[in-house]
Amino acid sequence: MLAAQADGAEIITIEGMAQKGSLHPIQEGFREMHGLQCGFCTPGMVMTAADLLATNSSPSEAEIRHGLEGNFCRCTGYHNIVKSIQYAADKMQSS
Amino acid sequence: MGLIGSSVKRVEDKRFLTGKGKYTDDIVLPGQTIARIIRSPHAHAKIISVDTAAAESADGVIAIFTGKDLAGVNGVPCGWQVNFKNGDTMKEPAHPLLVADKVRHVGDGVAIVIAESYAQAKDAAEKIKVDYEVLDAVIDPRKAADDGAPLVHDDVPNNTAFDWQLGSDAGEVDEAIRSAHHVTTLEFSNQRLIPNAIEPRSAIGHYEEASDKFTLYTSSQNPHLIRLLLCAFVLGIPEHKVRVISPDVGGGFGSKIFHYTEEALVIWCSREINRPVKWTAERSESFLTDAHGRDHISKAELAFDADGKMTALRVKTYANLGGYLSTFGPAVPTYLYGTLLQGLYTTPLVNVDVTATFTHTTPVDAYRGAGRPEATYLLERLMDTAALELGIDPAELRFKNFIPAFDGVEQAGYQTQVALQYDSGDYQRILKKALDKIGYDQLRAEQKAARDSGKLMGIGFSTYIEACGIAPSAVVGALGARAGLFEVAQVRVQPTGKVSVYTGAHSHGQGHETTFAQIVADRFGIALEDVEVVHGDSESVAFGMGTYGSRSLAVGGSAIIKSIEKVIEKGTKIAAHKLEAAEADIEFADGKWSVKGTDKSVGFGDVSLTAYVPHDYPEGLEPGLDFSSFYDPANFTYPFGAHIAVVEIDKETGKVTLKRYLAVDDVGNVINPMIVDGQVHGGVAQGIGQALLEAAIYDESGQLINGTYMDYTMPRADDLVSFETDRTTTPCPHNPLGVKGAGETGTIGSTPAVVNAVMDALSAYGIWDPPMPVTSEKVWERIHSNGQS
Repeated sequence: MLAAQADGAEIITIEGMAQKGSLHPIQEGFREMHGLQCGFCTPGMVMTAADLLATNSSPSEAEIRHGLEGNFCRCTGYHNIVKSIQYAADKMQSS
Repeated sequence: MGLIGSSVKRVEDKRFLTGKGKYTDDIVLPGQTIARIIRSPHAHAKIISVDTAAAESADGVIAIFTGKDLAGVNGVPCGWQVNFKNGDTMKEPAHPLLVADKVRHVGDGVAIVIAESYAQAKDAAEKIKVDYEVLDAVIDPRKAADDGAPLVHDDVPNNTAFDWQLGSDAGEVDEAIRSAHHVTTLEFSNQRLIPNAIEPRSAIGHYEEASDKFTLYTSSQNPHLIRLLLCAFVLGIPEHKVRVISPDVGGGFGSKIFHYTEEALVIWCSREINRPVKWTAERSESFLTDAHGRDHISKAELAFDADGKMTALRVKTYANLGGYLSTFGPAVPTYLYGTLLQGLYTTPLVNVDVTATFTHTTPVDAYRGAGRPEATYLLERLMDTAALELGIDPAELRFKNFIPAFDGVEQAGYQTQVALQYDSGDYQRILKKALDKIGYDQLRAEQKAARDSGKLMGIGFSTYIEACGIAPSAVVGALGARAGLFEVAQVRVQPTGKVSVYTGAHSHGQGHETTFAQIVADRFGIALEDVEVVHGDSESVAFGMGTYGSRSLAVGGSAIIKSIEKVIEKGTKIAAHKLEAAEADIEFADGKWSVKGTDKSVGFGDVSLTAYVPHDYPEGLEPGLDFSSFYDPANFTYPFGAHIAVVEIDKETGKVTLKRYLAVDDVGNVINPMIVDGQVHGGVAQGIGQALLEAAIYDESGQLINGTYMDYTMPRADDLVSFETDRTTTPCPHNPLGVKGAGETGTIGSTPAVVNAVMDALSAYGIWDPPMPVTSEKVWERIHSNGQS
């Protein structure tokens, strides 16, 4: 996306996810389920997960994997990223 | 307090999850300039001229240097010497920081432009005109050795860096193969891969004239080794004048072990212009200049007797080293490869012969597993192929040939035919566990049902061993290493009883800040939060050899244990004094020193404070509670495992779909199961990537034709499944934690298991050796070339 295309849009980055020092459920999911190793792809993964869960609050594993296809991770094999997003989905639904 | 063996959540996660990770490119120094490197678009060409005039007057340009400007500067060195079979030392041509005479691979550096901004550096770089005389290139490591092949280095005949042999008497092996009941033969390539750490390499050189000191920030797995090589071999700067900092590093997988030209260049340029110089690779530069992995062409023959017992293995391999010797390039296709060809089996005769050649390609060096995946692929592909040829179940064939269990204590280590002595292992147990866990009989029944209904389903095995915990210095020194491979740890107990740990190991995703803190907190009986782990800065950490070869815990963790023991020993003297008891009567447990058999005790914090406020103190004892240790391992460690892959193949499209993947690994004792599982997942994904998706593809002229993320098919989330993992535990007998290392097991085990599953699925069409990566196209052609569907 070009910057001009975001004109007038609300932009949230990884820095804006935690509120008053407490992690967003997606961030919490990544920590609880070991969804990150080197951390470099993590902001992209967390924000992609936020977008995915905004449109589908209860995604299947296949839907999560499909939703992540635009992001690379070389450390985790995606296994625990999927688990992290499932954790976040459960937590966000029950809250 | 039971922290060892517990899946403690990682202490480093918060900064990464909140956008506060700090990688090299995030660092902005006052007065920082930006460098851009002009790289060769040709694989092999003479440099006729370099015209920098237009660029010099471009906006923002501070300086431009070419290969000629660096004529008096050494190139980057090679850290491992392998000798020819006849005893001659390997050919070791210079690897200049910028080339002046001829380029040897696409991406070879020709000039560097330094400007005020990134955009200005990039604009100016486009104004530099290099006139080349393009020459023929050679890409294939076997053809490179032919008479008349284009020479990468004019003084290296037949492009041969060295030839090398290891193992049993070649004549005996030949005879055993000649007289065998059955010989399984495979000829294949283990294709070139690109490691693709998600963080591109980056380096900042900062020279400070007032103190005549240098700081190098670099995305490296081993900052101290970089400092040693940079100072002693390249620039001739005294080491105490150079500080190397590797902050957060965004993945490495081997590719950030090596001393790269750019690290020395930014330091050299910073002194020339007296300002900080930053270089960060663009993604396409990463593809062209990060050291690549694998790239072998091999012929392997495995002989059996009439009972299915292996009698001999003969291997001939051509290994591609690329255009220059990378830091550990020569070690990978030799001591990290040939030594693993015994596998888990009792084969009495093993001989491996390697020819290592230069080609007009990016240098090749260690990539996750480094030599051991190549050895395992070869051996495990032979095993499943032999099982099909002999009509024996592949699990049964392995049980027939496994080395019997040994613990390395009651039973001696196992001496192989290829130099290594395995530390401990129980290979029957781990395969049996894998078979039980996957439900093997049921799975074969499902396969039969699938086949009866016209579907293609395959089951593939891989039972591997690896040598890691690299490495005993004297052993690797005898094998050609030019560095020791010990590790260093300082454990500083602060006056308040809080602990700082300084480790020479370097985390680039492995979670050392958590695992090492678990060890220290557990042994001292203190809270995890009371331990801080520091790494990646040569100024705060005394020395270190870094992280690769699954060595951090086995070697670095052992160094920490040594320092912990020294703290406890000194603390015992202080406690004895405070408790007015004999040292021999004092015991340390659960965070306190007690007089045995009494309720008298003194806590960790009390003893720490006394050490720094030594008013009432043992006579003659130094104050302080701060110990440093070097640990040099007695042997490598030998993790092993049994992996099983299940695939389905769509006849219409040739698409291979991974249905299940089971990894049962034995990495010795485990400190943090969550982290170990994560290492296995990531490794398995990379190995599956090699099996089904990834390859660095060069055309005949030496152009890397898939050097982008659009073209180089790294696994994505929807290419993979959720993995099943389990473990057995066979402690390492020679290190204090009993650990073996877990960083590479997944990559080593998974590739052959997946390819074996594809072969098994297609066995109705005859026995086929699926060439990697096993793409849909290749599978479709195989299915349809037989006139069946």
